[in-house]
This record gives sequence, C-alpha cells and structure tokens, in this order.
Amino acid sequence: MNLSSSLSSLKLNYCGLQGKLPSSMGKFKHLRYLDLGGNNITGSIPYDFEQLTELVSLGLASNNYLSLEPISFHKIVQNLTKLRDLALSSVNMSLVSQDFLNSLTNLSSSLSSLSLGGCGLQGKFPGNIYLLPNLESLDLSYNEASLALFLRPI
Amino acid sequence: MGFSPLSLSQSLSFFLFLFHFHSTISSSHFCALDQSLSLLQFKESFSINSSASWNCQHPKTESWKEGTDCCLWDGVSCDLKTGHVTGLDLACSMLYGTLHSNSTLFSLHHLQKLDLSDNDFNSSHISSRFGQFSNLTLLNLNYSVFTGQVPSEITHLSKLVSLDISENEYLSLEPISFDNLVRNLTKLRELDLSWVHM
Repeated sequence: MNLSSSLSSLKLNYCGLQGKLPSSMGKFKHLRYLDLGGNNITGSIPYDFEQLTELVSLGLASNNYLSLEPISFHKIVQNLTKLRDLALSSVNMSLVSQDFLNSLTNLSSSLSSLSLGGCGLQGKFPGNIYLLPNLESLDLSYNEASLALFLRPI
Repeated sequence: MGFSPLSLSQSLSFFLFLFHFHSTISSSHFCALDQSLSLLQFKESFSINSSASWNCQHPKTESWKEGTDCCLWDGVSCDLKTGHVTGLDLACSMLYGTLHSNSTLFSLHHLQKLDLSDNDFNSSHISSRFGQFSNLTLLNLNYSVFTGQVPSEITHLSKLVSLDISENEYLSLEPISFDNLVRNLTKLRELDLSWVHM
C-alpha cells in the first residue's frame, strides 16, 4: 500500500476489491475511518489491525470469504478503544469460541453500532452486551449463538 | 460654545474622508471580472431542480447576480488580494444538467477546493480537464450522477488531501490502477472511492 501513513479516512465500499488485506495495515496509525465493505476480500483479518487504535469506524461487512480468527477478534475488541461503529456482518467467525465471545463485553464504551449478523458465531452472547452505554444499534442476526433476552430496568 | 472654524473644517474633511472611504469599499469588486463571467456562465448551463439534491437542498447559485462581487456569492470563496476564485462549494445546490468538457468551470484555474457533491450531472463523464486544477487540495464529486471512466488526469492532482468520488452512477477507475492513483496522490488523508469499480 503506497498510501501515506498520515491517512485518516479510507472508504472503498463496493469497489469489487479482490485478494487479501495487506499485512501492513498497522502503519496507518492515524486512520479513523476504514470502510471496505461489500467487496470480495478473502483470507483473514491481519493481526496488526490491533495497531489501528485511532479507529472510530471499522467496516468489513459483506466480504463473504473473509474470516476473523479468535486472536484477532480478541485484539480488536481489546485495543480499538475509540470504536463507535463496528460492522463485521457476514465475516466468518465460526472459530471464535465462547471465551472470546465473552470478551465482547470489553468493547469500546463509545460503541454506538455493532453488526455481527451472519458471522457463524456459536455459543452464547454475553448478556451484559446490553450494558454498553452508548449502543444504539445491535445486529446479531443469523448466528447460531443464543442471546438471553432481558429487559434492563431503566 | 460653538465650534471654532478650524475644528469645523477638520470635522468636515474627516466626514468627507469617511464618505470617500465608504464609497470606495462598496463600489470595489474583489472578484476578478473573468472569474465572475465564468461563474455566471457555469450557473446558466444548469437548471435548478428540486430532485437533483437528495441529502440537503441549498440552491446557492440563485444568489449569483451579474454586477455584484462574486466573492460574496454563496458557495464562492476568493483570494482577496488577487480576486481569484479559490473555493467553490456547491454541495446540495440542486444543479441539474450535463457538465461538459468546455464548461467555464475549467477556467477557474486557481481553485483549491471544489465540492460539487449531491447534484445531478445527468450521467456526465468526469472530464479530463479536472486534471488541470493543479492547486486542488479537495475534490468532492460524491453522489452527483457521474458515469464512465475516471480520467487518468486525476492523478495529476498531486496536492489533493481529500478525494471523494463515491456513490456515483457507474464509475470505473480503470485503466488507472489504485496503486497508480495513490502513488501520485501522496498527500491524501481522506479517500472515498466507494462504488467506484476497480
């Protein structure tokens, strides 16, 4: 990637992109918006996404042959503390086990939109995902994982 | 106590000075005449159509009147020393019509920021003449019904910091490769090519 490392926003949704994500994405330390949804990106999301700590929005949804390994999942959840919008629908996460699923609770408290529809998630979503204080939109549809529905007293 | 003749004449000349100063300001035009004419011809080449802008609607060119200073028109900004138009923000201006290669828009050589987003350019091609805006730091053609190939001349805009040509009718980046684009546009900090086929 020849793009400048001072890049703050890269949006390439529905561009017909093919191939794997470069493993050098971590150099874009100032990146706040990264949207690559609706392409034909394959392979797995590189580990070094954890270095994109300024990200406010990460969109990789609708790349049907892209996968997210448990460790990358954990690191993204753990390190991207400024995320407001995380869209990973249809990214294959079937290897993410219950332990990692539980770490969803560690997602950025500024998160306002989370979409993990059709990710092949199994097990049980942590019930306290509802406790994310700024969450406005939550899509967990089309997974095998179950979610205890409960209403929190207001 | 009346005014002494001296102070009266001083007051009068001060008043005349102020009057002269005021009339000089109001009759002077910052806008260079050729720039003003180019803008007016650009305006005339489009109609205002309420279905041309979707997200917001501000028919800015309606404030553009012959004989007034173009630097004061909605959406226009100038270098006040030279009178050159350096910024044109016509986002959501309800412009409908074809943007031709011979448009007088391309006479505005000093443009640094050009925003034509959310208008309806009726399946115009992006003219290769966009590549002549060598001072551009911002180009926004988002959601404006452009179609066809993105001209390779776009790679000449080496000062671009922000480029958005997303969400048009059908744009293709070919034959420029993405690598080629970003190799030339080294100052980019914001890049949106969503829905541009590559």
